[in-house]
Amino acid sequence: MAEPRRSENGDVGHVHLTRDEIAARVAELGAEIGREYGGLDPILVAPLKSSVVFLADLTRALRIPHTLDVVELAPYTDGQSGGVRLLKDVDAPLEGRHVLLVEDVVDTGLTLNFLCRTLALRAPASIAAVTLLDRPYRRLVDELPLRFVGFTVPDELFAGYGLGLDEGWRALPDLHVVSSVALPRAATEAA
Amino acid sequence: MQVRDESPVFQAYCGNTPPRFANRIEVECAKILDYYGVPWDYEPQSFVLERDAEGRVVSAFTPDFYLPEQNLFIEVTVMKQSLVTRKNRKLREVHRLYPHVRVKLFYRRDIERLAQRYRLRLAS
Repeated sequence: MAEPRRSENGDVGHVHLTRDEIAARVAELGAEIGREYGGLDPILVAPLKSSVVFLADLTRALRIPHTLDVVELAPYTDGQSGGVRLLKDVDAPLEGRHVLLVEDVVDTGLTLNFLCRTLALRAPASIAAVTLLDRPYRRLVDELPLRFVGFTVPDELFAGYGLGLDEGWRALPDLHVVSSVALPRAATEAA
Repeated sequence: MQVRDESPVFQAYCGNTPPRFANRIEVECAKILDYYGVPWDYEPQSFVLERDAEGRVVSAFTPDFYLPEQNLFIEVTVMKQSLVTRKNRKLREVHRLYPHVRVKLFYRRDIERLAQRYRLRLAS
């Protein structure tokens, strides 16, 4: 049965990028990365979960020897104390390796900045990042090693191709725009 | 009027006195910065935009947050887009008078995006 296209947090809208457009760009990214990382045996590290579809396609588009790993960050849940933490760390030692972080979307840059800071402590030879989507309008951290960008997208929410909203719609093969939900009135009132 | 929050313990806060947020949105923004370990301060500096003939401050702009590692000020506004003209004008004045100062304005739409991204509990 098809997944409902409407939820309390938004509706799936029109297709912004078709599966063919994404596939073509991922192939280009694979070629670009292959040229720059040839002979370096890079390790691709992706944060779960939204990046897994992109990672799966990118690794097959990358025609140089490389390895894969994944990390999982604890989700932000109402600013719990203690800060962000890794639920799953990389399995491989990173010392001396060329690390390429594989992101689905870079928005504020906070997540990528955290990953870079965290993995830099493992003394890799280099850290850079590739993102499928760049949404730079709210960037808070400017000095990111974002070396490869699939698409710079408009200031919209997206679902499909691994991106989900409340765990829905990740399996949609195309990338869809998701309608926004307005802020509740209580959020904007002074107490 | 200030927000009576549940007194979150901030770990990346750089200020000397406890922040007194103006609304819940500011609290949530502070929590996100804190969660990611990005050092932040709350309203640490005002920028004078206009003085009268006696030198008294007529107009000033005080951004909500300052990120020292990024050397970046952030102003958060929850006004509707149609009502932010005055704030935009002030921001242009800041850019004109203090060209070395980096300020980003987060509009209501930006906060809505963050709220969806981080599933903020804003209605409590």
